Amino acid sequence: MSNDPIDAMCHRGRFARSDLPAFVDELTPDEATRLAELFHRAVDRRKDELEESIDEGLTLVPRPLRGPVKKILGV
Amino acid sequence: MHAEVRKLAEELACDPEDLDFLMRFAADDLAQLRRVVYHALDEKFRPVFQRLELAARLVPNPITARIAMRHFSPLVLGRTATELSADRALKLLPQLPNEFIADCSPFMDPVRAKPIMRGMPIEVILPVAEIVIARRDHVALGRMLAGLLPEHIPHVIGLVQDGHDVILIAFHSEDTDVLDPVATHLSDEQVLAVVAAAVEHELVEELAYVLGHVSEANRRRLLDAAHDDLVAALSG
Repeated sequence: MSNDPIDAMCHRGRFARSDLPAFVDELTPDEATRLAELFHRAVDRRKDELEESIDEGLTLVPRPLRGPVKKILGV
Repeated sequence: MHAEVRKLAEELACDPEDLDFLMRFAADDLAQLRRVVYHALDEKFRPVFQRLELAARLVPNPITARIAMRHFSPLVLGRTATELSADRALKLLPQLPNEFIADCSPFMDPVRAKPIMRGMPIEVILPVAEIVIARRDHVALGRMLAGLLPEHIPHVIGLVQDGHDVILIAFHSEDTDVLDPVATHLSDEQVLAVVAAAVEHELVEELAYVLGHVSEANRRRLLDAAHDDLVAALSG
């Protein structure tokens, strides 16, 4: 896999590089890394928020079933 | 600070200063990047909400509403509601308090939830909008405006009396096509409040962004109400 931070961002976000504005190719390596880091951080934060919310919601499910339910939901 | 950089920073939940290196790029290109980021963050977790929606189909509406309010956060519910059919969502609505709908509204995707928003009766929209306005949740109301029927926009915008709120709600509207109808339906008092707020709250850049998406007649109407200094700043 490419070491390009923008490619890694596209891969994680499941979008094509061609979806991004052309200026991303003008970013310096440091700027591209910074942008990708901020994106990865936002994805991680969104995932944590979601997991926390789903955990709260699953209090209505008996404890032994919570793991399998989370697996079914794909969290 | 570039208005689009500020919006992108909100999407990424970072400080606008973290994105200083993007200031040299054009607003349209930054808007394209912001939309890609918004959809990527949303799409990545969409299967979870789709599965929750499938599970909710197995449960009658009154029980769904009760479980939703008691056990799930507005984040999960707003996103899951976006996945509901408009028919199901509109049947659930009367069973939910307005306060609760307002809690969930910031998390609904304005584009995908459009059929739901457009099916909502004005009797539900107005009290929910009042709550969101009172909370000064400009992003939520901006998104809400983008989903409404055109004939509902004047009713909602008529509720926003503070010029500072008008500017920020318009600035945060995801659909720039609604900005002209919003500007058209501003009362003379609201126009004066908007130009005063732009100066008082240093929202010149945000107002300039909004004016960039309205008709010449509406732009002129707002500029005519502004003092020379503000006109110069907005025109620059």
